[in-house]
Amino acid sequence: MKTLSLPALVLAGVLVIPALPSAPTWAAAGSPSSAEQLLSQRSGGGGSGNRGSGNRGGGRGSGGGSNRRSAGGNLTGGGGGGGQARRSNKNTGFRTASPGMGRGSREPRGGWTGNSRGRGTPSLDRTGSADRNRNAERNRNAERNRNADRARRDERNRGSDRNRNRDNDRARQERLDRRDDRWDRAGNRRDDRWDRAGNRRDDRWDRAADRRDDRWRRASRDWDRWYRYPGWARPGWGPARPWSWGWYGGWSTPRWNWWGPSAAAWGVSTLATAAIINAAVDNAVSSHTTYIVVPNTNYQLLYGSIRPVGTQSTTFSVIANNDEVEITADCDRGTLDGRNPRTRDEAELLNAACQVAFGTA
Amino acid sequence: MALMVLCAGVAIPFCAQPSAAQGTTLYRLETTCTIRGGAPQDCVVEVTDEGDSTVYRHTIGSRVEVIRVSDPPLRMGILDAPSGRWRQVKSAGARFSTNTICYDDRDLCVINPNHLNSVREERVDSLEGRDLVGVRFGADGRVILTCYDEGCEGLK
Repeated sequence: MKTLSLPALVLAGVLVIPALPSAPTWAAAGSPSSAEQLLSQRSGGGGSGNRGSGNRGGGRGSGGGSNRRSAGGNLTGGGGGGGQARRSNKNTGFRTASPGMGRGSREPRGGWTGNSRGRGTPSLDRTGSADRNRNAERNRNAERNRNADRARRDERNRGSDRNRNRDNDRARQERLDRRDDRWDRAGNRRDDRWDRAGNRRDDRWDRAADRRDDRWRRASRDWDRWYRYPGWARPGWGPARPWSWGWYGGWSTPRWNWWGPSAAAWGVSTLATAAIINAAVDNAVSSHTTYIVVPNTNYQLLYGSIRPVGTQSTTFSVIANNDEVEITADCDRGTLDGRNPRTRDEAELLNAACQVAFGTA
Repeated sequence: MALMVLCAGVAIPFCAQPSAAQGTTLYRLETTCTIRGGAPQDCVVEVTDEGDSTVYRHTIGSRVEVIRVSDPPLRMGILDAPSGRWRQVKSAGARFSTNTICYDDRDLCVINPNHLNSVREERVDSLEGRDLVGVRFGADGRVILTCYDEGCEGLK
């Protein structure tokens, strides 16, 4: 096969050499075009946001964007030797520097919604809830600081009282006579303290290392899950849910036929309100946490796993006793996997899942 | 005028006459829009995938605004109805918590959770923990600035 030289390609119009910028060297070295192409190639190959190996349904069209990007990458790479640097897998430091917006042509998990009317006014202004969260956090910090200051002051006062009492109770002569004994005892105590402190230090290190490992494992697990989370599980999640919603709510006295007798037996009169559950999701989204703790229970509801089944049921995953379980709830009939909740905790779980799926938010 | 001269002499994608090719309809969304910061109005967004770009057709009463978005590299154009030509969008912004996207500062704003859900899943890394994202385009239609949250303050 005949190989054309570079000038020949240019003359033949196969290659188009862009005009060289007159900008200083930084522009040439880090031009947005090369960075974007490199980044899109990496995204396309790696399937940013498509690590959905654990995508449990609802993942229609998840490969579309990836395929399109791969095609783009091939075209770029096919240009000849110049593509070598672009194909590098090394971290350039600009991996997240791609434009934050995109075409929006890839169907998100859960699909497209057809109606967003009545879901607020278009606005780029910050919503009030974000400010409220920040203020709440500031208040919590201030309270913690105040408590810590109080504790430190109390401790200092206690110390000075002890010193005064000791001085009053002991005569100077007695102190001299007993000094040697005290030195001996002090030495012994010091040794003991050192030993104990060493042991405690070792224990603390061990415990800290264990906690660090646990946190890391948890973080890794949660991070991995976050990649599988649908686009609607974000700030503005209520209106972003891509399915019909809004009929569920106000279940302080649900019309589920089992509710009355069960509630009496459990000694409760109400379930967690929509406001509490919505706030929990808001906080989880803000703090990048993949679950909410269902109010009054130890259940961790993986809210991003919620998917509607028809117009009144939902499937979701929940962590109970360190195990992840997938459950289907019928929000209208008030059942979990087809049966009535047996405990108050299960009732709270049902209520929370249905609120996130179909409640007003 | 300068743009028209430029368009006359150079083949730039967004200067080209709008394509007559019909794409695949992705969805039709009944939602709310605002024009130049005015009162919210009911509008319908019809979205089609035309292969290398996505076209958003906003019908607000008798008015129609058409936005074309392609990537990579990210480019946005708005259809100039009188001339029938695409002109470049100068800036765009999205606020996730209000499900809003605005073009050319606030000339056209629309609530479109579909667009944002899709973008969110495509760009998990760069949008992690972000609420506001903005892009500004240069004279050649390419992105010259991307900003997030507080970094977008003061930018139009």
